[in-house]
Parts: sequence; C-alpha cells; structure tokens
Amino acid sequence: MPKKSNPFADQPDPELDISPMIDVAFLLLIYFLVTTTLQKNEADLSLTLPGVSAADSKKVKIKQTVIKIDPQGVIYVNDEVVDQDTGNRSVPALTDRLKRYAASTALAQAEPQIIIDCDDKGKGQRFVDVLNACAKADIKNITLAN
Amino acid sequence: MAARFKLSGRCSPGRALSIVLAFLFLATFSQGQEAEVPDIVESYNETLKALNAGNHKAALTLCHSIIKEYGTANEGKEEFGTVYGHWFYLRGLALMGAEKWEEASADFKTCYQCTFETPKILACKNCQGFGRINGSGQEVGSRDEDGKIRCPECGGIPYNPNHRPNMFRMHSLVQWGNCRMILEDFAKAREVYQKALSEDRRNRLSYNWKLYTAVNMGRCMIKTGAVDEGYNFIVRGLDAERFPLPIKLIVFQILAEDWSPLVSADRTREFLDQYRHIALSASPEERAKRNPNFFYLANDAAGKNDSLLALSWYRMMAHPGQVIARFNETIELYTARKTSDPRPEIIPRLDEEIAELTKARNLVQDNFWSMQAGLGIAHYRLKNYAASLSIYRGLADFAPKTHKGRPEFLHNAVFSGVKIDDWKSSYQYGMDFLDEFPKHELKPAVVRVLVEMIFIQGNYEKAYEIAKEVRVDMEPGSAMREIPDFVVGASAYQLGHFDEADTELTQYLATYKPAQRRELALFFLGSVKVKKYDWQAGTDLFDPFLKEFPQSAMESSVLYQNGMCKFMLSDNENALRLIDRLLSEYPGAQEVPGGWNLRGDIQSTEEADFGTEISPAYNNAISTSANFPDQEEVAAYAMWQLLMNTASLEHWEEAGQWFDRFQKEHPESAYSVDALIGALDTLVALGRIDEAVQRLETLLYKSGEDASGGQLAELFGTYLDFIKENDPENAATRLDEISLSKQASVALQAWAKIGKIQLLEGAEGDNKDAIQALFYQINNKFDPAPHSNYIIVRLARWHAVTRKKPEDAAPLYDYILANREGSEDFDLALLDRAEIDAQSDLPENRARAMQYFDRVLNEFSNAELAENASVGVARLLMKEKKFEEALPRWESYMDNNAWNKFSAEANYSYGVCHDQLGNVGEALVIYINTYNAYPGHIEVSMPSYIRAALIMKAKDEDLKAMLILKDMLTRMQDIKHPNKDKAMKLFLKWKSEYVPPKKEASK
Repeated sequence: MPKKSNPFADQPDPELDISPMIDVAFLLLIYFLVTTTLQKNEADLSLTLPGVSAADSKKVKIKQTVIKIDPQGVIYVNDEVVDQDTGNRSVPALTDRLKRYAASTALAQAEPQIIIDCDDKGKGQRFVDVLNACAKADIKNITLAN
Repeated sequence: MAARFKLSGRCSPGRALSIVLAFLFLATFSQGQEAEVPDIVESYNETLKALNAGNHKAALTLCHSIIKEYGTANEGKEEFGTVYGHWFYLRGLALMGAEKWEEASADFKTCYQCTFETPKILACKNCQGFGRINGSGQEVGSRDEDGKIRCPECGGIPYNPNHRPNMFRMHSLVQWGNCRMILEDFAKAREVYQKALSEDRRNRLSYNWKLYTAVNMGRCMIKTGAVDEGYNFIVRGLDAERFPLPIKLIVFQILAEDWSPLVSADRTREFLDQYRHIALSASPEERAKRNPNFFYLANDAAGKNDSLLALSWYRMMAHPGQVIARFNETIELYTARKTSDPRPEIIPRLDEEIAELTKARNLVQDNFWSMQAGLGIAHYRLKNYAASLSIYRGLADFAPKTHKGRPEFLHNAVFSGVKIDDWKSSYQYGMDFLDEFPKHELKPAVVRVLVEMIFIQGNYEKAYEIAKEVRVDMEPGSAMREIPDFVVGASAYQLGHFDEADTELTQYLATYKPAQRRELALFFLGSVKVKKYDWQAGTDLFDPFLKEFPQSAMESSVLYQNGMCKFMLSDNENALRLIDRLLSEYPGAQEVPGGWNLRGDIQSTEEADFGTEISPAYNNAISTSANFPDQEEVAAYAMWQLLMNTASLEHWEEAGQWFDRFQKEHPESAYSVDALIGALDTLVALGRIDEAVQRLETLLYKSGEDASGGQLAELFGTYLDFIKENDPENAATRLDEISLSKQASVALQAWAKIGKIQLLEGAEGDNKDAIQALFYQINNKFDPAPHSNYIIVRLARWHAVTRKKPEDAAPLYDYILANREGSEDFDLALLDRAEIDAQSDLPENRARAMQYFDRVLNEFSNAELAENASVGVARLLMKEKKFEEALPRWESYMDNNAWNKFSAEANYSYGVCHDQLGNVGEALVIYINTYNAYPGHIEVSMPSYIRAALIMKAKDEDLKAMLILKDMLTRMQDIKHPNKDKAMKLFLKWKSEYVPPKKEASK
C-alpha cells in the first residue's frame, strides 16, 4: 500500500510505535538462539573493581550503556570501539567493559541497562556474542533498538 | 374614559334654560313667601349664576343653606310644592362639579322623587272654584277619558295656584344615571336611563338629551353584558342621517372603546371598515382629543400580537403634526384678537382659550413620540422592517434625548436595521445605546443583536470586532456577557484564528452552564480541534455532541469530522461506522464527497479489497463531488488516491490513466505535486522517465521563492532523489543547469547548489574544495529573504563550523529568528544561535543563549534538538558555576534513555556538580562509573580517574587511590596526554610516600 495522504497533509509526523518492531526483534533473537552455538556463561567470574568497596557506594543516577554492532561485526560501546576482531567470539574487551559497568551500577545501587543497536546487515552470530557478554556480566536488562 | 361621559352625560342645563327656570322659580316664591321671597329668590339666582360660572363650591353653599332653612324635599314641597325639588337638582349639579358623585346621585334621586302621588288642592283654571277635590285630598270630581281630573263645574283642568310643578324630574333621572355610570354602576345607570326615556311623557327632555340618554344607556347595556343588544341599540345612530355628528362620534367612541374589546378582531375590523369615516370626519383638533384612546386600543391590539388591528387603530389617530399646526394657528389667531378686538371683556376668555389650546397642543406633542413608537412596533411585528426602521430612526434622531422612551427607540432601531441588513444604522444606534445607557436592562438584548445577528449574517470580522469591544465592560461569566463571549469564539473560528477560538470556546463552555449556544460552541470547538489536528480532543467533543444533539443541523458535518478524527487516531472501525452513517443518512449533504474519500482512506489503511471497497469509494467521491460547487479538490484527491493505489498494485496502465486524467482535469490542484510524486514509479514503469523529469523541473521552475520552506523544499527533495536513482549520470549536470538557469528563482538555484553539495558529500573522494566552492557561490551576495530556512541554516553552519566564523553565521540566524517565527527549521536556527551565544564571554549573550535554549525545550517537540538544548543549558550553568542549578539538568539528561549523544559529558559533569557541592561520596561513584563506561572519552575519563583517586587519597585510602591511578595508567598506556603525566606523577609520589598498614605489613 502506498503511504496514505489526507487533506491535512502538513500535520506533524506521528510518533513511531516501536513495540511491534521489538516483538519482531525478539522473534529474531529466538531464531538466532536456536541456530547459533552458545559459549559457556562466564557471569560467575568474580570481578574486582579497583579501589572501591561497597561501603563507599552512593545512590546516584547511572546512564544506560549503548552497544552498537556494525555490519562488519565491529562492536562499539558508548561510541567507543571495543572489539574489532570479528573472529573472536569471546569479545573480551566488551566483556570487561560490561563487567566494569555492572560493578559501577552496583556501587550506585542501580540496575545496569543495555541497549543493543544492531545493524540490519550485521550477522546474527555477532548479536549472540554480545548477548553472551551481557550474560557474563550478569546483565539482564537489555533493550533492542532499530 | 369617565371624563368623556361627564361631557356627554351631564348635559348641564344651558344658560338660557337656567334663566327661564330662574324666572319660573322666582314667580313661585314671589307668590308664596312674601317676606322671605327676596332671600330665596336671590339665592336661586345666585346659585344659577355660580353654576354657570363653574363656581360649584359657591353654588353648593347656597343650596345647603336653603335646604337647611326650608327642610327636606317633603317638607319643602308641602310649603312650596314639588318645585322645591329644583333645589336638589341644583345641588346635584354643584356636587357633580365637585365630583361628589354619590351625593349628587342622591340629590338627583330626591329631585326625581319630589312629586305628589295626587294633587292636594286643586282649583279650576276657568272658574277658580275648588273643583271636586276636597281639602282632605279626596277626589270629589271626575276624570275624563284621558284620566285627567276635570272641574265638575266647568270641565276645566283644576290646579293649585300656589304650587308650581317640579320640572327637573326627568333631567334628574338622566343626571342620576350619569352619576351611576361615572361610578361604574352600569346596571343602575341603565335602569335609571330607561326610566327617564319611558317616563318623559311630557317631553321635558330635549331631543338631544334623549339622544345622549339613549347612547349612554346603550353603553350601559354593553357594560352589563348585553354586548350585542347594546351594540344594536346604538349602532343605528351611526347610520341615521339626523344624528348630529358629535353624538355619532360618541357612539363610535363607545363602540370602539367598550364594545370592540369584547368582540373578535374580525368584527372590530369590520366595524372600523364600515364606520371609520365618521371618526375621520371630525376636525383634527377633535380627533386629537381622542388620540390617547386610539393609542390605547392600538397598544392593546399590539399586546395581543394583532399588529394589523393595531395599525387600524393607529390610523384612526389624528396626525400630531397636523393637529399641532392647527393648534398653533388657533393660538396665534386668539393672540392676535387680544389686541385687535376692542372689547376688553373678552380678553380673559381669550386667555383661557389660549391656555387650554396650549395645554392640548403640548399633550399632543408628548403623545406624538409614543404614537410613533407604537407604530414602529406594529410595523416591526408585521415584518415591515423598513417602515419600523424609518420610524425608529426618526425617534432616535429627533425625539428629545431626555425622552423616557429613548432606550427603546435606539434598541428597536438596532433590531429593525439588522432585519434589513442595514448594518450601518444598527451599528450606529447600537453604539449610541451602549454609550448612553451602559447599565440599562435592554443592554444585553442590544449587545446580543449587535453581535449575534451580525455573526449569523456571516459578517464575522464585524461580529468579532464588536463582540470584543462590548464585552470589555461586562463582568466575566455574567448573563449579559454570554453571547458576546460565544460570538468572539465562533467568529475567531470563522476567521481562522484557531488558537484564539480554541481558548474562547473552551472558556465559554466552562463558564456558562447550561450555555445558551452549547450546540454551536461544541461544534465550532470540535472543528477547531480538527483544524489544529488535535484528533483526540476533536472526537472527545464530537462523541458527546452526537448523543446530546441527535437532531442537530450540523450532524452531517460532525459525522464527517468525527470520522476523520477516529481515522487519524487509527480507530478505523468507529471511523467507518460514522462515515457510513453520513453516507446513508445524509446522501445530499455536502460532506458526502469528502466522506467517500475518507471511506476510501479507511479501507486503504485496512488493506481492504481495492476492487470492491477502495476503488468504488474514491470513484463515488469523484461522481458526487460534481453535485456541489467548489469540490474540485475533493475529486482531485480521489484521483490522486486512485493513482496511488493502482500504482502500489503495479497496475501501471491504470495508474497512468489516472495520472493523465488528473493532469487534464485538475492541473492547478493543490495535490498536483503529490500526484506527480505519486506517479513517478508509474512513469518509470511506463518508460516515461523523461516526462517525469520534465514535469518535476516544470514544477520546480514554477515554484518561485521558498521563504516559507514549503512546496519547493519537498519537491526539490523528490527531484534530487529521482534523478539520483533514475538518471545518476546526469544528476550533477542537471543540478548545474538549474543553478545557472535564468528561469530558475534564486531560491531554486540555491537548492540546486545544496543538492550538488549533497551529491558531493555522498560521493567518493575528497570533494571538500568543490563543496567549499559551492558554499562560496551560495554565500555570494546572499540575501536570505527568498530562501527557505534550511538553505539559510546550511549556509550559517558552514560559516560557524567549517569556516569557524560564528560572527558570519549569527546574522543569518538572527534573520530567521526575526522574520520566520513558526516556520520550518525555525528551531534549528534558535538552537544554533543559542550555541553561538553560549560561547560568548558577555553575560547578556549567555542570558540570551539560555532564553533560546529554553524556547527550544518548551516550544518545540524535536527530541534531537531538545537533547542539544538541554545540554546547552546545563553547560551554561556549569560555565557560570551554578552547580546547584546544573545538577538537576544533568540528572534529567541521565534519566532520559533516548538521549545518548552527550552521555559521557553528562556523566562527568554530573559528578563534577556533586563534587563542587560537597557530595564527595556521590561524586566518587559517578567518577568511577564515568571512567568505567567511557574510558575512550579521555576528556572525561582521565579527569574522572584523577579526581576519584584524589578523593580516595583525601579519605586516607592511599592504596585504593593508587589502584585507581594504576588502572588508568594501564588502560591508557598507549595514549599521550598531560593528564596521564599528571596521573603518573601522583602515582609515583604516593607510591614513594606509601606506608603499608600494620596488618598488611605483617603479612
């Protein structure tokens, strides 16, 4: 169907309702989960944050972390390249960043939040690699964008 | 009313009659009362003289003294005979003069009863003998065949030489009747009048007296319920040739005033038609005396909404102007006679006449305006608006401004003027009214007619102007102000002032409950919401409207507009239900063609079958639109949609046919650009690419300037995409040709250059120089006036970002801000200008930046710009070291998950704010989070590391402080930065100073 027009053509564009798209993304996620090889969950690895103990923690606001995956599988965290080696599925730099992030949010008594922005042309496997890294950092609050 | 009958009924004896009676009386008393005669005779003459002079008081005194002296009627008649009854007649007249009707009535009755059943002593006229009646009153003689006593000696008529007869018995009856009538004792009056007419066998009453008596009796019959009998009794007088005109006038007046209110208007009109000429034949002065009576009748008829009858009564009135002229002539004549006539004794009489005439003239003058007002009302009610306006205009312009009826005159002039579209008169008199009578009870009506009638007539500008003006002095929420408030809102809607209409009508409905114009206000307010694309608010108004006003004349429009609202809110099921109601219940409504289009849109959205649902709807829109004027655009829209639908189905041939028909039938339509854009795929599929490009370029060349940033921008974007996709090899050339074409407007040339810049920006290779060259071309003698905001902003950003010359960019932004309020990309200019000001060292520039940032945040809904503006505000506050104010700004940025562009800066600044405010614990956590989450953003991660370490050090956590610096130095080992050197120095220093705690040392 073509885009419908109406006599009030200069009305402001309506807000895009992304909930159906998120549903689709989760369907895709299930698809990838069943077609790719999962690695061992390393979320139980201990992490020592340098220099700070839980007693110092204060409740402050923590911004969510945005992970982008480009078509080549390069991973970005907060607009910084972390894992360029697309052949390395363990994504160590990402894992380290996520663990640090998780520890930071714990200090702030907040929940870590991750937004994964995966390019349409990217490979599904890389997306699963990122999910594995999140699991290792024990991060469960994940939102998909685009 | 009573006064008139005093005139006709009293019929006081004329001077001649009085003199004659005086002699008779004199003779009687001269014979019987020698010693007393001079006194009683003198008294009688004095009494008559006083009565004739109108000195009723003196007459009354004389009568009282005589009657006191000589006793009651029975006593007096024993001494003087029945002639003694005359004193009671005279006293009755004097009492009438004193308006003592009951007492007068009693005296007249006494006079009437002053008689002997039988003569006491009789003497024969011929033989002077005693005849046959003895001294005891016993009849000794015999009666003749007529019943009269005859002298047995000579057959003569016996009489008492010392006793004169009572000659006023019949007159007394008449005057008695008159008194009863004045006292509205009509039954008694009727009885007494009848007695007078039947007992006057000796014709004591003159012909005129009998006529008057009969007329009055007729009136009493009517007044006592014998309406038809009374009418028939006296109406004959109007036809009788012998009847004197004055009596005919009285008969006419009785029937007009007493009879006509008791019968139907038809009978009254019939009576008037038959006998009107009698009343009109009187002199103007005489008629003028009756003007108040006819005026009363006219008003009475008008009060019963019988304007025709009212006008008939008005017609009976003497024209005041003519009467006044006659009065003036007579007054002048009498005044002249006062000097020309040699007899001095007539001067008092003339003065008296002049005074009476002047009084009468003034009365007529006063009544003139009232009569005119009544005439005006009658004409207005008969819808003779021109006549009523003429009358009330005369009253408003010429009647004294102090006249008590002036508010009504002005009010009625307003109403009459509006009825015949004489807005000028209505407005003039309406404003006069409001100026002169700002508190008058008629003010609401005047205000209402001024504003609402003008509104209803469609003169919205005038209605809006007047309503706004008049309501200023009215208390908000008062009944007087309701209609003006409504008209302001409704007129604002009609004039396209939708924001104002929204505010006004919302307030109107909230203030006035129940509102007199609720139906219209709901309708207009709903329509305003539709015009403002506030679909939810629109349907929230229209849904209850349909329930509350099921018989509304606006229902078809409401069904259409509500259907549109539901459709725009994606409630297609209810939208379709409403539109189907419109199409089935109002097949002739002007909303039907648009309704078919809306049905087509709904079905398209629902992806219904094109052949059975969508196509018939749009085709019906085309066919039904032909039934109405000014619906060409509805048909054009339908064709465009059919083109779009068939194109989406890749029915290229059919789509091409719709496009060709559109071009043929609606070449100038507002949808022509949309139709061409919608047809581009079709034209490509049909191999008509050149035609498509040519048509696009034709439209581009026709578009002219683009100051509003509208059609040209949209069209050029489409054109650029089209040539990039379908003719990429020649795209740059085409753009060059346009930018150099003399046919192209300056705006189009600039767009072509921007298009070329976009091509170069997307192309491979280093095209910076070429882009620079194009910007320089655009910048050459650049006048922003004909260009869209987008072009101006692109050029300004080139100055600010590429050339690093914000001072060149600022005037361009300022042009937009000063001249393009509300236009496309205005918010971009506002934000960019704010960011330039934010860099300034001048406090006033930074204050302006703050103001612009706030405007972006509060007046626009662009999320991306809002993110920039929010950060801009926070940065400014940081720059001015207002950390307490900056802190919540950064917090709100942290809270907004859609904002990520400045996350690193926001995190760090958030920490700095806490740090500066002494919240060291919070600052430490945030710094740690910052360097963990944004290690690559060294402008924030490095200071975060260092500051976190320093905080630890300050807390005597030396080891942890060193671990933080170690972490930093490890993660940033490949980076050269002064902060890294600083961290290294700190680490080495702390390490050298470090003394492990005892526990650790023991380990």
